[in-house]
Amino acid sequence: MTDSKRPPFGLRRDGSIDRRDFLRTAGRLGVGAFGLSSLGLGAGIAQAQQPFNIGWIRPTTGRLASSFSYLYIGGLIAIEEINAAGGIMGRPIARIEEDDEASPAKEPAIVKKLQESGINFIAGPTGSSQALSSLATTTPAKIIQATYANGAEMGDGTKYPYHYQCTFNTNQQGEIAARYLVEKMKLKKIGILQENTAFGEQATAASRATLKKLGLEPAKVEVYPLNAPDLNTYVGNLRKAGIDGMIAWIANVPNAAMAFNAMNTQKWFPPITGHNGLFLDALFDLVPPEALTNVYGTMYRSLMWTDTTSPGPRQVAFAKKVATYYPEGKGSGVPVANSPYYDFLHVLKVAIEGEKSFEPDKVKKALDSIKGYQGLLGTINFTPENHTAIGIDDIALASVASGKDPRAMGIFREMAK
Amino acid sequence: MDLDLLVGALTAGSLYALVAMGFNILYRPTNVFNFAQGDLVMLGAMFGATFITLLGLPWFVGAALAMLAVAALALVEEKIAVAPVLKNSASSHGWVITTLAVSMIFANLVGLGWGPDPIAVRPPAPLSTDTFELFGANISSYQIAVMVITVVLVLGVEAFYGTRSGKAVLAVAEDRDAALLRGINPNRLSSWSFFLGGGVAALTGVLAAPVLYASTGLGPSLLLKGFAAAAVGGIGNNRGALLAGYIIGLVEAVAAALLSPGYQLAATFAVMLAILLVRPHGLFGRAEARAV
Amino acid sequence: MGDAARALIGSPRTRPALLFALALALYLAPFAVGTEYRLFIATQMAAYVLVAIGLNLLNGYGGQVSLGHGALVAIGAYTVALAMVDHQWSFWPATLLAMVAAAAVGAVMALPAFRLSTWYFALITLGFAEVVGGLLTEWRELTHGFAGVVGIPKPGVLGHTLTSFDLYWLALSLNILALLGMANLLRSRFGRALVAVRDNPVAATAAGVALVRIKMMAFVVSAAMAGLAGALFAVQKTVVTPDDFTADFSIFFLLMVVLGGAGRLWGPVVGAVVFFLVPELLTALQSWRMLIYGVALLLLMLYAPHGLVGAIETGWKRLRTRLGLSNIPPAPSTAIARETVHPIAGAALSVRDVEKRFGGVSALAGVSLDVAAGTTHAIVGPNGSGKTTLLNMISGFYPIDGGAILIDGRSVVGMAPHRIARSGVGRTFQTPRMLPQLSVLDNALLGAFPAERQGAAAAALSLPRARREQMASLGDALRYLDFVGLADRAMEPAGELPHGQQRLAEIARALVGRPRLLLLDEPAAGLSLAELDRLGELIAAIGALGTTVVIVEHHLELVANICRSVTVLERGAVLASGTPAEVFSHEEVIAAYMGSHSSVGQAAS
Repeated sequence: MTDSKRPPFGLRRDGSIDRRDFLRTAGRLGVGAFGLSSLGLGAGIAQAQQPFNIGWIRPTTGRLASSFSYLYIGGLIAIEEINAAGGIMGRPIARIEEDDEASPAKEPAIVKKLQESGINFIAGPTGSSQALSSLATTTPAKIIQATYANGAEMGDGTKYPYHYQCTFNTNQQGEIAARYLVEKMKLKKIGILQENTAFGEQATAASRATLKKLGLEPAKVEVYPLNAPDLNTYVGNLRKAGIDGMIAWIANVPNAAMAFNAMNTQKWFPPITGHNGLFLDALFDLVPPEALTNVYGTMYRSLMWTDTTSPGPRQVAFAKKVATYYPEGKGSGVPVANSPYYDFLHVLKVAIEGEKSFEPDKVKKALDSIKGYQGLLGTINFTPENHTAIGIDDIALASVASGKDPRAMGIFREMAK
Repeated sequence: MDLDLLVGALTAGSLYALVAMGFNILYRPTNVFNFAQGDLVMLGAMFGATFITLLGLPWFVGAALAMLAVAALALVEEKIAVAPVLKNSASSHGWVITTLAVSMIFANLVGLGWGPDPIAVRPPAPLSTDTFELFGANISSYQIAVMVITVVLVLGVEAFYGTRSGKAVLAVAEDRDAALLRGINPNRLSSWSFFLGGGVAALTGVLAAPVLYASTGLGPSLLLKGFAAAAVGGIGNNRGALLAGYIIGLVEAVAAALLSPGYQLAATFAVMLAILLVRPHGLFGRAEARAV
Repeated sequence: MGDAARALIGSPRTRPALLFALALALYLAPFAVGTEYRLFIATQMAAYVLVAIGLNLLNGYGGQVSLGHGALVAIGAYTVALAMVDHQWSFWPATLLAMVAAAAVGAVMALPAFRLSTWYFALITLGFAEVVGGLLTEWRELTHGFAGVVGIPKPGVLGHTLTSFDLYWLALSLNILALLGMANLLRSRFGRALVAVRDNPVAATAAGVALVRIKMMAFVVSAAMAGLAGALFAVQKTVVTPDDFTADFSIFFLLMVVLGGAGRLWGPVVGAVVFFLVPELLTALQSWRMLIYGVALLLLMLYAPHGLVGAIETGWKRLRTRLGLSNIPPAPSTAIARETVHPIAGAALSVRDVEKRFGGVSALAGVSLDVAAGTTHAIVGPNGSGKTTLLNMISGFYPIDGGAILIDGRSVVGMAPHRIARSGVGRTFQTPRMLPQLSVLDNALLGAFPAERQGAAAAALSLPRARREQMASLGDALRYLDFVGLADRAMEPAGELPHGQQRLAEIARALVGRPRLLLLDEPAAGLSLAELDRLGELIAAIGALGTTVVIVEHHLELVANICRSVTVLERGAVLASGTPAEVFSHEEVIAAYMGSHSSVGQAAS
């Protein structure tokens, strides 16, 4: 997902951060970092209840710090759940936090630093360039890692044998978005609006490939730079090409708002399928409702309701925890839920306890044979070759407008009919 | 190409020109390029959004408060980051670092005050971002207002430089020490210029908010294009900045319609370079007096 | 105790010894404290130091602001990455290619600098970097687009793959070599010329320095260093992506240079260390880190306006003063400095019907004059009569609108001023054009620029040939400083000399170029009577060397004493010419000067 340089997720509507809450969070993070580094130094002395250290890479400084922080909430909830249940083989999970400033150039050094403090498991970083950059160091070091990067090659177990992509990938997303327009809506002239990022490029390539399988070519592909002052021209070009359905690979709110407002200006509302970044409540304030009625994003089936089904108990419990303990995540429930770190930590626990070992190679083996684990985002299956957790059957399109429905509970959406 | 393109180009161009004007106002008496200018624009948008959208104040009150707040911040910047450097040596480049440091401070402070969420700012009634057709182009009353305000501001500021106080600013720009001898207090003028430049930056942010949305990521791209408009127009020259803003907006819009993003950048750069090679001191800039 | 400190601090051997100890410590450090992480950080820092050293040459010494150096690093990094991954090159030729590629792109990037002044040029470099960034993703066939280049192998030597220790030593050695080379380059004619281009381009031109070539040299050298750093960056990180090279990345290098101390050899090194290490040390502060860092940066710049090294230098000088040690370095002793000055074959000057208009106003309307080789000629006239304009035209600073100027029978019309200077025309200015931060000796040495033949590479490597040439120039400079009577002040900063002595130093600089025609613009202005006498003797002595001297002067007594012939200008036309006696008895001349210079009568008598 987040390949853009702008904050990819608008998160809070109400401006100011609750001061007490902020201080509490800062305190928690600070204590975590200090406490753990001192414990790390004393490693080897206390054997029994020694915490299980996990590297935690995320930006704590810079422009992306606040938008990325929400993506780690799921991981924090998982840690709380696991530790409350006695940790992993009796050892509580402890985070060793490192600031990557969301800069790919920083990753190798950070990973080496974590490696030297004896860490074999890392959650993060977020972003595809950042992930790629860290993988160059974690792979030879045999560090088991989950990044938040959706590129298909990130789930290639032969290329990155120690990396586990606990999400769907961009290829699946591209396929779902294209199939819906063609197979469900029976549209023939499909246009693509794409941001000029790694994510946009991969997603467009995947959609093209799917369209080709279905015997179609995109009628028009428009690529816009992230700092475009408006998207009127690009939307206009698609409209003039006479498309009747649009695939939108837009990962940040301001750009999405520009695109939908451009459509509103042109009074042209084709059905749109696209990225899960479209599920942000901020959009409701920026865009008139009629521009969002026909908009669908790719998401996990487990986080959707239909007329006859509703999300499972684990998902509902997660939604309640987010609402109760992480009020700052309000308005960005979907990105909070769609992040890989919750499922990663739980699967890691299963693997370690199944193997009764913290040895990375043994844990890898156990992870590689995980089958049918019911995670937050769907059924998780790994093989030595396939490290993409979620299968395409667990992905569907959901209505963006349904975010206003009380059933959404912040993180759920209604499946597209 | 169609006229809608022109509307977009002129709107964006007006915003670039406003950013450039903020630059110029600060630059004139101090010869300092404020690297934190983009942050001031962003802060203007965020304060505007806070006052207008979140606190529900009337648009004009909210905009005025935002301008005041950012102008005050700019004044603080001048006091702590620019005046001391200029006092040490008027020709030192220390301000590169100090204004960058201020930018770093602002950029890290906004994250504490605001989330990354873009905030919608509605234009003041009766203006609206809904478009209607005018001479075959789709244009909104708000876009017209932005263009008109920009032109009025540019003419107003230029008219000011024709007055006695304005001439004092120009005199300081030329030679700080000589101006001092003529009874002009350059430090007070610097302070005023930062105050005004901050206000203009804030107004730019507030005006941009309904189009570009108020978000903490607003600064950097506007900074770059504003800098380009200032240079192409001739640094210190606001009429030049206006024309240059239009040119950059137009080139960008035409390139957007025809080229992929990488080449859009290249095209904008090529036009900029061509203009500067023909007119090395910008469209309306004058060469400094001969050195010999 | 005090004596020991004085001996230690005063000893010229202290500094090299300290530096040697530092280098040794850095080489040995990995054995004691080398962890993968620290080596990685240190190597990365060393790569950045290389960029900063190069940028310091361009920005600190040359005064050119580049906001696009990150793009040059990107080009180096991508060149190495693509050559090694896609074409299986070995690291070493790939690095060479990276340096060449970055230097070539740097040269293209520099072209607009010859027309644009500082901040316009800064914008162009910034835009250029943006375009390079855009093309890194756009040119997918070559660059792999957004995906970047992964799996860059570590360099090898004779089948041995470099470890992170080796890489660190390599980077450290490159840093030391770069510093040594830079120190040599800056001590050579190129260093002085660069500072002249930055501080006083007119003086540089008058000394025969081609501004364009010097700027280009600085750009190419610094770009090649950025390319080299990029090569290190690539093999060290093993993956390069377009996101590595943002606009901030470019500005970051400028920040390092200014923070450390622009125009100071060690500035970029100190700047990089502080810039790199401080945030690392503040890691525990989490999200407050960059905020505190910003504040620290701000305070630092306010209290150390010339960067950290500048502050250290100031402190060092204060310490020396307190210990009673002089801050003026001892003059180099060369035996040849005492040698007598060789005669010069003067050139004949012929000015024919020269015209010059500024806007619509005619400044010179058909001026002609002839100066025989080896004689001293004066141009006099009231203010605004066109005297200085005429000098500026002879030396090529103003283009000519009509007529001809011949030096030794060869036309100089249309020649660039630095070329005219190189053909043997030296000049001084109404207000002395000194480089105030350089020593008087260095100012004089600037005059030797055209005479030396060494290239930048020979200078940086300090080849014996280059060193011999430098010694010869040094001898010349000391000799002419002695000639004008400034030998004892040779090592003082030129800016600290009184006005009159700056004038003499400027004459010495012109003489070091061994001019066959010397143009002096009001050399007597503002001199005391005693100084005036000395000036007269000096000009007479210069004339005695054989040089043709043309002097613009108000002081008619001086003119009458030293000149063989005089031309009087009035409102851009020749009023009279001839010997001083003839001219000053001319009625119209007396009329023109009446009331303004009563000394006419005395001088003519």
